[in-house]
Amino acid sequence: MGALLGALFFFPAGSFAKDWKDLQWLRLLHYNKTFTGGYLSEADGNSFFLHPEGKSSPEQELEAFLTQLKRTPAESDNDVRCLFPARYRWARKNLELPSGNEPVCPKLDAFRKRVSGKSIFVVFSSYYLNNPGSSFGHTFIRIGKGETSSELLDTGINYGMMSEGAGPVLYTVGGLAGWFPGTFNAIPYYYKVREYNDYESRDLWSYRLNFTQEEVDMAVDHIWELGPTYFDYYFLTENCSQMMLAILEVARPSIDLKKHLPYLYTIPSDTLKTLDKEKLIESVSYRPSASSLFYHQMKLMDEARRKKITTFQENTELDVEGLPEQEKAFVLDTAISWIDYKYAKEILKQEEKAQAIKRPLLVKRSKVPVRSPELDFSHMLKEAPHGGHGSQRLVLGGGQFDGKNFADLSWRFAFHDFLDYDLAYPPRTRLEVVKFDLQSDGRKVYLQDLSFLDIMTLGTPSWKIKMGHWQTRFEKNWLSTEGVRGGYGYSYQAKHWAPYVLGHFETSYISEELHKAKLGYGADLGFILDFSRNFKFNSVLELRAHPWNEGLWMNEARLSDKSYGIGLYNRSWLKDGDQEVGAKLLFYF
Amino acid sequence: MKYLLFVSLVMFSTAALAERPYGMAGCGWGSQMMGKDGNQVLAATTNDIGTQTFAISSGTSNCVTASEQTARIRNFIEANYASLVTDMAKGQGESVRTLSSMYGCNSDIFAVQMKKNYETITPANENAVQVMANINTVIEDNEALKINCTHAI
Repeated sequence: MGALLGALFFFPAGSFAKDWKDLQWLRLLHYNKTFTGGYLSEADGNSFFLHPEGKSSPEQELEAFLTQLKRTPAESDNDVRCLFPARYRWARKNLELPSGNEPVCPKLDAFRKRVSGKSIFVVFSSYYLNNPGSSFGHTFIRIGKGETSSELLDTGINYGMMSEGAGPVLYTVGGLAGWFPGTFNAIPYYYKVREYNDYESRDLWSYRLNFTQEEVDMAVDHIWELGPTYFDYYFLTENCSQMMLAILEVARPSIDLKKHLPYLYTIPSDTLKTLDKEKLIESVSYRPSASSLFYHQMKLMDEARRKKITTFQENTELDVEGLPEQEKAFVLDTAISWIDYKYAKEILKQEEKAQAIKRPLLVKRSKVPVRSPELDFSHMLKEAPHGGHGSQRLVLGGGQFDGKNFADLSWRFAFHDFLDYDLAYPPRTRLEVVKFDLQSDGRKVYLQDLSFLDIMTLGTPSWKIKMGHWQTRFEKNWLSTEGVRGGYGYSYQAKHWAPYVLGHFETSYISEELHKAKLGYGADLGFILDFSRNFKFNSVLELRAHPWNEGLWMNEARLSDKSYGIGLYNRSWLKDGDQEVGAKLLFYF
Repeated sequence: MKYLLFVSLVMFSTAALAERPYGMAGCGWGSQMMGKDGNQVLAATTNDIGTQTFAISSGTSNCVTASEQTARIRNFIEANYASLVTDMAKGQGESVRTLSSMYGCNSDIFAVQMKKNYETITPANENAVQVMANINTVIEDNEALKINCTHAI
């Protein structure tokens, strides 16, 4: 009935169904199709809907909205046109509305003015080296104020989970199960720069999108609508990256970003690739982290100047006397950059110890009457993270085991392994979620490996963990094994190679023959050679003292880029004398 | 499959991220453990300021009141402190340029004066409020800046 009334009032009967099914209306309210053919909105705050059934009915929600639009505007700020300006924009553009009902919205106007949106950027912060969990970066939206304003005063739109006070376990479980709300905030971009660039030393990449002023306005208004509501936050699906894409899809209805993404999860670097595929990227810019800045400055110096900095790193004494002014300035700048990077936390908290080192340098620098050279980071643009490999990987391979041929098929859902091309991914880190490997000798198919999780990271500290199913080689037999194995140890990080040693433990269940649970231990000795992002080599000796009393030596070389790779490997069991050699083709999606 | 992912991620996260949890996708988790020591940069990223921030009103008129201008500049100095003092000492750079634009100054003149008066602007153990007061004094005492800075406070 309401539908009829609404339809009669505004436009010829019969088009109402077309309107509530309009893609942009469905996106404005964040509806998804359900399995039964209905709709359900991802938004969970009640205030987001005007109709009590609005969460599941785009039709009733539109009716309720249109009914409100018929009314004379309510008191300022509380009118639906003020609360839902993007919906109102959509209605004005697509429906015939009576004129003259323009509301007064001081708060909305103040927000629009504060943001002063002229352009939209998607900002990607690179992996956080100190934490493998953030290995895949973070994305958020930046609303630009235009060329005449400083980038720092732009507005960062962050969507994050509110879980104050939750411990890590509750946090993780709740985050996966959607127990905590995700909310938005709009803060000056400089807070984001300081947090990521300085505090965490993460590079920032800004992707400027080719959005028109009208599309930018739509996005800003939609962000305003999202401000007071919340969404149940799911780490894998309804996360920051998906929300960001949803806002972009509202602003430009003709694009479909989600179709490029894997069904089960969304990771930030994958979302950048979707921007590229939909041709939304106008330009890319790079903002170096505190560490990137420091190392770049170091590269620009000759050996003698660099020595001064390394001495300073050792004893905080910096000798710049006698240097020409220009060089004195640059050495001081570099030392200051090192303090900002090394003592980021202390500097941010303005702790006395860090200030006591930094301040004399600053005072000295202020007395050197020359300008520092403008640093050029344009070489970094070819490293832009949308050029990273796809996180899904298919492997086709074949080889010989003890002279017998076999074929090999493996699939990885996500994310990265240290022999993969590591642009936009952390180096010397494997973080794989759900991977399986099938082998066949032509007669039978074997499940060689099924891991739910496989992590190995070389850094400080170096550690590994793997959970799932694998095959243990024991007295010339393959034994199906389920369990967890892990390790902890040390690695040396050189520029193009990293030797490592990890203690190894495992707790596993052998289903074939033995039907026994086992506890095992041993050690891994190995090294990674990373000649370039594209070409890597790993060699490792896995010694198992108990219960297998076996040694396995593995070598693997891989040449790969963002889409394809080839690999060669061999495995030798030292005690049994078994030999395996193989080759593989890798495809990244 | 979702269940498997779930289980493995729980294990993964609790084992590996006990110290400072981050999202599988790296997002949302990023800032959640920060902000407990009262630092502004850290706090701003975590506080539940969503709706408040959205509703901030700078009044209905076109101008910004003096106290809001003061708060805006003070926030900027406080949040960008490390980078700002570096830029002031060099007499160039993004932070000092941005601060200059907030004061409505010509950034070349402003930056040169910040560098010249660096030692008095940032005495030892200073805080953002003091630094702001010192910058205001420099502007006030300098003929060129006094005329030039249209939003000086």
